Amino acid sequence: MKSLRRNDLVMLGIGIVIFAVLQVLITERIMSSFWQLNVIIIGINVIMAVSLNLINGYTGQFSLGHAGFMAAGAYISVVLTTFFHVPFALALIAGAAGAGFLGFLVGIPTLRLRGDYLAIATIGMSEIIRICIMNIDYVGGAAGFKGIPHNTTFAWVFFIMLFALFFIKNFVNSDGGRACLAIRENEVAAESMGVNTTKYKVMAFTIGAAFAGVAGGLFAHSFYLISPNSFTFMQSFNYLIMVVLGGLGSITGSIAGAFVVTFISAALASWPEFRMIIYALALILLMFYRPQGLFGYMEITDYGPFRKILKKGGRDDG
Amino acid sequence: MEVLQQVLQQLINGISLGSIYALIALGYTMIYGIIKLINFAHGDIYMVGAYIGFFAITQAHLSIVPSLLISFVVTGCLGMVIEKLAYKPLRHAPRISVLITAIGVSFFLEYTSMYFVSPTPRTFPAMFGDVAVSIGGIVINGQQMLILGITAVLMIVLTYIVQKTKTGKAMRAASFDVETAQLMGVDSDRIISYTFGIGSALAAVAGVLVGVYYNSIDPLMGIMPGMKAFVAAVLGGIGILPGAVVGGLILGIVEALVSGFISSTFRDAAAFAILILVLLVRPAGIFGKDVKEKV
Amino acid sequence: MAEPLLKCENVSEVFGGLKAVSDFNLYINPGELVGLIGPNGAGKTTAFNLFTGVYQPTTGTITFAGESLLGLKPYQITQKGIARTFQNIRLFAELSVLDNVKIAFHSHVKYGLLESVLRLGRYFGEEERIEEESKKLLKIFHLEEHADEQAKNLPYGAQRRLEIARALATKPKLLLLDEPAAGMNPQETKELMDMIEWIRKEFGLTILLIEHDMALVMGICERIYVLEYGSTIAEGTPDEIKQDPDGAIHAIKGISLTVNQGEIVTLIGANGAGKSTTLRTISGLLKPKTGSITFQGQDIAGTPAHKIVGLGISQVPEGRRIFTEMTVMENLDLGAFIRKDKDGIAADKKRVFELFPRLEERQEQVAGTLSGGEQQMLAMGRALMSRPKLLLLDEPSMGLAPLLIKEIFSIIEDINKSGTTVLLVEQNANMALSIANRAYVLETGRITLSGDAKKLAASEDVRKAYLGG
Repeated sequence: MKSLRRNDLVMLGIGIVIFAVLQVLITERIMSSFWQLNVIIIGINVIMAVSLNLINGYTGQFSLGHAGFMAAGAYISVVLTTFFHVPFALALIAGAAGAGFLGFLVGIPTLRLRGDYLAIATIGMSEIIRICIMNIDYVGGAAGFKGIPHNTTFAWVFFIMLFALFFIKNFVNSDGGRACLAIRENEVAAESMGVNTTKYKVMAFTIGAAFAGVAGGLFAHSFYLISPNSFTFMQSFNYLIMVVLGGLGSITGSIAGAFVVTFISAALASWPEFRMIIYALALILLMFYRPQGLFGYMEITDYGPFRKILKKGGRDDG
Repeated sequence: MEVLQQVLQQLINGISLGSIYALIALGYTMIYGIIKLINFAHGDIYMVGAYIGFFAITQAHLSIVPSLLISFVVTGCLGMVIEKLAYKPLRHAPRISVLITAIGVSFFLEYTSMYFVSPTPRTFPAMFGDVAVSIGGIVINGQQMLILGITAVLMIVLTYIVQKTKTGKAMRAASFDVETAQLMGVDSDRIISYTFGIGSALAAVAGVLVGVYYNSIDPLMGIMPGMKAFVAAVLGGIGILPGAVVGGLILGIVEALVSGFISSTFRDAAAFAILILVLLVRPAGIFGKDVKEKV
Repeated sequence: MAEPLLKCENVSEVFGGLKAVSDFNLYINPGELVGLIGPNGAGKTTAFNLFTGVYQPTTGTITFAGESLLGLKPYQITQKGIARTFQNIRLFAELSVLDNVKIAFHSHVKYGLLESVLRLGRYFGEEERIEEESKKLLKIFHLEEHADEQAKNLPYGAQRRLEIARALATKPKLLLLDEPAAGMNPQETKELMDMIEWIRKEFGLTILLIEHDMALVMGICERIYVLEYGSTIAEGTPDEIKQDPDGAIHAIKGISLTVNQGEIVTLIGANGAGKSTTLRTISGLLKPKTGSITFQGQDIAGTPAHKIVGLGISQVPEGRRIFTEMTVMENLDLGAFIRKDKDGIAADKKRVFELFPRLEERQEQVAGTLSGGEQQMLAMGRALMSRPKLLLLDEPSMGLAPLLIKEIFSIIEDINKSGTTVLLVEQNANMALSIANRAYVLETGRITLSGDAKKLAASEDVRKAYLGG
């Protein structure tokens, strides 16, 4: 068990090295501003993907409304920073709390819904959130919210991302996470093993939504203007695709998925007319030939070379 | 009196819009009934149908009825092709894989259409613009009459097919129990293919009618109506044909009333609010039956 | 005597008008090992679902250690001390064997969300304890070397054992086992019996067990309840209950059987022996991995089900599976789906109505409103509408009252006399052997005995295993 703590430290170390390298590339302006923005977007997408993975991959609840939570977090935090000059960190926390509360509300109907029905209900919820924002003139309505302070830096994104990864990794490897996995695998049996399935489904939604809220706050503060149209269900599909591409139930997968999707989008940015067509075909082919995604249920630490670096103590993922 | 008149007028508008939802919802519900798939691409098939109708009218200079027919047949075939290429290989795959494939197909249809017909909306030629009947101040215009008429005819034909023909009976049987239907000699692959064909054809008609009604079509026009039609199908009880029709009409009427009396910006929210309400109060829908999971 | 640990009084459960369990009474004293037996569809699993809160009784009371269980959710009942296994194995298939057990410690974990996420406080200590205890349990059930494998990759018997290990990890007072030996071979069954005895003593458990394997039930249970049509028909010690019930899931291996024209052949065997799988393979719903199926000189292995109907084989599926929302007439029409001869179809409908006059009276009725017996008749009638040369019948007596069973079986004989060959799968071995020409006995996916039906009915082994005496 002690090796678990060691693993965490090794991971944290690797994280800090990656951060240092990227930060140097950014401050020395070796990286173009286009890619600087994309690095930030990747970080935000990683947060979105792992948090969605907690709901969809680990708990097996099919949510298609992640962009709605992101919108809630984004709007709550920009109102606080722009109108009330609340410190950025506090605004992010408030955004997370607000989105988490919505997640809690959305989680409740999941007690009665399954699979496809839940998917549509979550799309519905997120669209309602979006339409409501569109009708609030205070936040700019459909035209969007202007004059947002540019608070999001690479460091903010990176360390919040790291926190999200550790949070969700540790949760998944604890009793609560096992309860979620049990629900995914077999709800009736989970309930028979003493798992209050209602509680854990709602918990997964709340935690997932709270992180989406933080990601929303980071996203909003990377731009001067945000509009409700940045948070349509098409955006939710995008996050779902990252998770599925990487592997439902794999944190490494979510990171990889967020990378690949963001890179492909950025790389195809010059051919917008083909971008979505290629995207669509890739998605269909993925389902045909590798439906479990790049990693399936596996983590990078489950593969040979990494096993040695991180002496395995029990089954711990990273 | 004025308010009553307004309500009645919105009711007429609602029924017209609802008929369109109903046509799309029928396809959703039929497909869901038989392979338990929410065909996210269904709304896009409706869009393709609208474009085929548009080109038939503007390029081939056909009148409305032959254009509807062409769109009906071509889109129906397209639905069958999509089923064969994208869904059939995944017949035994987990539901989530099929659902994601459906999202992929939806993107594919939207953006290939965009490539070929350009993203800018096209203006449907005006039709029946001057035809209108006024009863006590309530106006039913030509487009609305067309929508109601065509929808009624299609419903009657569909009811006949499903209730009386052999294929229809096989469709019903397969949606109750695919395996037993096979034991009766029903080729389930063929029936699934027909179901996609008929469902897509109905959506195509809805697409052309919407073009006539609103005068404007674009490659992303199918997204919202597609989702709303699904709401309609759930509202009526998914898998149940009369349910889809009733669900579509209710949804259309509610939307018309909301945009007429509250604000048209809340129109879309109304549909989703209905959805969530139904799912919470009566997940099986108006005509559905609750079934207990067998343990 | 001490207060019973579990007491169930006048419990009824009604599903859509059908009584699954009616006026059910049962008590279990602390420390007892009680068996619950009865034919398929008698309501045994429903009883378990009622005890564990999966279903709520329509009427009646259930108390556990003096507390009412009514209105409690399954997880609350587990926390009170009732654990169960499932007849149709419900493991967390994609997870490791070890995690399967760890999950079950859920109610006994003493750290909170924050501690787990930040890995502080009791997290490491508790995780260590859970891991240790889980491994101990795995060892008891000889699963320790499989600890890191995915549960779905375990051999069948090991999956059954893992279900029990997992149930024990919830630290129950009362353990409910739903057919723990289903699909196991005799050797495995024997080991399982010993294991159940041992854990009972070791953990001070009270056990209630559903089982088809009579030897197992008679061997270890102290008291037995016999359930039929949802009510208890007998209760007592194994010696007192040396009566009828029948016998013990698995696919099939290397089955060879022939059915000659004009015969009635029956396939008997315990639950899960592979009887239905055999029929489903013949009718094309399943594809055989290896081997051939020849019908009238033509190899039909792997031919899709809808084409096999056209060749002249028709199946009456287990559980009837009629189209409940369609009328009787429409069901029959679907039976004739492959045919185009209108006159022939009409004639055959007439024939079906002669065989089953009750269907004629109800021809416009929606099939779901028919009684169980009438539904069986409809399923048979529907199958006859394709004018089959070979009729496959899967458990036609299931859930029917004795008088009706007699009627159905005599009709099967009539159908056979008019020239249709019949292959019959049946739980009620007595009935099946009485009308069959020849029989095959299936055990865990293999044919262990075959021959003349009358002779088999007289054979000692068959009597013991399948005829309850």
